[in-house]
Amino acid sequence: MIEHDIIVVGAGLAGLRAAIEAKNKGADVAVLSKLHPVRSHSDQAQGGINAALGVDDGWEKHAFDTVKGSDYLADQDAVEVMCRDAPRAIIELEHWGALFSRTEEGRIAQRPFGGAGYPRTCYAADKTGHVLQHTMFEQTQKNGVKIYEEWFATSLIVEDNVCKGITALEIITGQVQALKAKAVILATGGAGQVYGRTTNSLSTTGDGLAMAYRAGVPLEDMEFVQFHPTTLFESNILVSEGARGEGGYLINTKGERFMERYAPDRMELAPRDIVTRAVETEIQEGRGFPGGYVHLDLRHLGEEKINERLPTIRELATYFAGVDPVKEPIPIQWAQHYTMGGIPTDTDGVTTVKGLYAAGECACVSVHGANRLGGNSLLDTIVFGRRAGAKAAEYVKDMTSGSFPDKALREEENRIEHMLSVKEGEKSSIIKEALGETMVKNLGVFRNKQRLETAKQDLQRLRERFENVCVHDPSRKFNTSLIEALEIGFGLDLAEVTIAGALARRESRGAHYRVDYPKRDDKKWLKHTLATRTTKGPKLSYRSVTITKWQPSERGY
Amino acid sequence: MKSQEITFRVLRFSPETDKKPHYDTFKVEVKGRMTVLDALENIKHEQDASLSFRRSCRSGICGSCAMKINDLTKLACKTRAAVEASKHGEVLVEPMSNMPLIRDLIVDMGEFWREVDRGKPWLIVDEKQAADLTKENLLTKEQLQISSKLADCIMCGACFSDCVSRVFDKNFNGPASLAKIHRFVADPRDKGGVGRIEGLVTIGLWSCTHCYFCWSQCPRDVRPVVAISALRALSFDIGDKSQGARHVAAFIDSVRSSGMLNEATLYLRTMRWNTLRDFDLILRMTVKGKAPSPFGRPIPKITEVRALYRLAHEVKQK
Repeated sequence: MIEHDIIVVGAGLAGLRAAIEAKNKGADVAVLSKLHPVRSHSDQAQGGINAALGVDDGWEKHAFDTVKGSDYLADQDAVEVMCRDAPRAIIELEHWGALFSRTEEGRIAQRPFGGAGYPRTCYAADKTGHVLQHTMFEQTQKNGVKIYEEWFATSLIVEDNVCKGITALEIITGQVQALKAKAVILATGGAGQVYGRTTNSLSTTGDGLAMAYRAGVPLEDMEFVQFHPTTLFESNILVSEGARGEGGYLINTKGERFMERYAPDRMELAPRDIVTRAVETEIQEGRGFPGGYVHLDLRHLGEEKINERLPTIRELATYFAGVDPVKEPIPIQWAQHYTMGGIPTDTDGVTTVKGLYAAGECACVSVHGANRLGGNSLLDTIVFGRRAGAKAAEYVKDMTSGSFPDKALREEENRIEHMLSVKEGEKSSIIKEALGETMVKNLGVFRNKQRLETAKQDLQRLRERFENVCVHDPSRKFNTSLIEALEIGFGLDLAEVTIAGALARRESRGAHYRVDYPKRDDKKWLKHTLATRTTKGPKLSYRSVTITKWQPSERGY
Repeated sequence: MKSQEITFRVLRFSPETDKKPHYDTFKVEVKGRMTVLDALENIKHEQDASLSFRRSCRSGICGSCAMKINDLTKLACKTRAAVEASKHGEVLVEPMSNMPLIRDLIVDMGEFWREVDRGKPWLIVDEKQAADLTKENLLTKEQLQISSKLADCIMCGACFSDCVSRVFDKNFNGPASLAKIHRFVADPRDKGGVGRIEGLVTIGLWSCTHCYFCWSQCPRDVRPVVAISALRALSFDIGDKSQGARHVAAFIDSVRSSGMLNEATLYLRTMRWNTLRDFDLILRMTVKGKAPSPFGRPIPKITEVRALYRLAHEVKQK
């Protein structure tokens, strides 16, 4: 049986950062990922990473912007930890070789971003995630971190509320293996693929979230799903907020900069929830272009600036939409972008299960609350990844190796054996498509009771259909159909939690907008949702929000 | 939206049931800007679920879906099916070369990564200095220009797959590995110094034949061949006397002294005593009058050639 002190599941920025920290603290740590680390979704982040580096800026301002952006649902102690640590974290990355864009004076350059009162988003052109992910991977190599690449984690093993390890499918052989560990750090990212319209990679399927949920860990605030206002029409490939940070305009069919009606002060640089609702409102009220999109106009920035600051956007728009932003406005629409909810943790990644930690998008600390600010997700990964790694290393120190229940491995083997043996049935891709459709239609930007009930019923039927899912490929080695089916199984669980949370929350806050309850209701709903798995579906409970310095007030931009 | 039926001929190999690969043909209704990856997803989900390939971001940045499309390695997500079909009549899809096949379009990239690892692919720093996290290094855009360009590499393996030299020379670490090394060499923060350059001869610095496939096939326009040339110049400057460096020295000297390439001296100076290995061939070429003469007179306008050399030298000094 494979055994390590710590197993990190997921090799994006949070996972690798956690592994580096744990390794440097002397722990025997291994990272397990269904992809090669550099293929991780962190690589796709574009616009930047926030830190109060400027002389007139300060962590308090950053924290306030974050709290206000979150529509006051973020836990303020956690926000403080993140914003205080941001400058150190950025300089550490710079010292590791990250190639940030620079000012004329040679300092790390910063650009304005949505919901931020100061230009504090550090960036590497519009490929910040790529630059950071490769830098982080270089550091794992330098530090000799063991990596199980192309291993798919299938379940989390928890006994008497103590984490014992995981089971995983070694993709190349198709064998299910037990990986015993004193501590497990989940860093598997968000669940974007639950939606049919998402900027997330095809691998961003929320595996860790669902594994934790199935192991009895509650999921927090899953109804808060970020929709990005600017993604390429139809392909939904991300067009960075950096495009607006550099001065891009949002324009409707009448040629108006319509943000004037929704956020007269901040205009295009209001937080994402507000801009997304504005874009969707324009389209629904008939001021969108046929098919359902508006324009993101960058032409006035000029070719030189576009080439220097937004080269990827130019390339992606040209290639995937057939539009050169230097000459034409980009057709954009909203798409799912980020999972604000996740596995509840404290500021050290500690969960409700002993020996289980979580960091990055799969965790809910909560620093993003009801709406994440652009540039805060990369920051979240490196700050809380490091803290989770350190805490886990401390936990496993001087600890003797526990037992791993053989039964758990046999159960997983049987489950996968069964999935492979089904001879006839529905393809998982059809179920995925149906799930994606209902989520976009009923759990998108504007929600109401009736839509949410429809989604709930749809989901029930999809669950029944999934019982009979057929992989249509009985082979063991590199069976990507099997993996897709396992991923959709996870996705159905997560969709169910999202729907339950959204139905219950009768208010509008941040990204969760109920047309039937259009106001924020702090009296009843200034609290975090916790969904626990039961045989009858998710059971909801609530936890209060930590408020330290900033009392909730009306949110205007 | 315009739509047309396109034929995809796809290499198939199952390690569990096949002794050798074969090809399957699929017809796909291709609309508008549909990519080869979209078509493969369509085949997998609607025609044959067992078709296996790697993919993730679908936007040309994660580097998962490099494969051979009509004989050249490309990212499937950045290759339009209709464009390929209009050029070639069909879309032939095969796994990358220079790496062992696992299944269908999936190859074992272990070899590629091991070659990258040979170059210490991380920033070498003064650990004490790096531990001071109070301020960043001050660096201008110009100082980071070369490294930033090279850091666009997504490690997809396309250059390695299409590398002609790698086919014959398994000691050649390949274009991506050398580009990654140059990314650090060109970074003013890197403390690797000459140590980064010294060992390059043993890992294949002179194995590249400048075929430029790594430039043309790179989906991120990284241009590894340019990095390789730059590393060679640096190696040359620190006194590299290996066979590759001697070849370059002989080339430079020959043109400077005569204005022409003297193939005999080029050969002798490059191969040195190894010339004796080919003694039999040289003898036969001499008998047939095909061996180039090591002697020759400079061309009439040799002073112009030498002026060019001086100019090049001055530019380099600057």
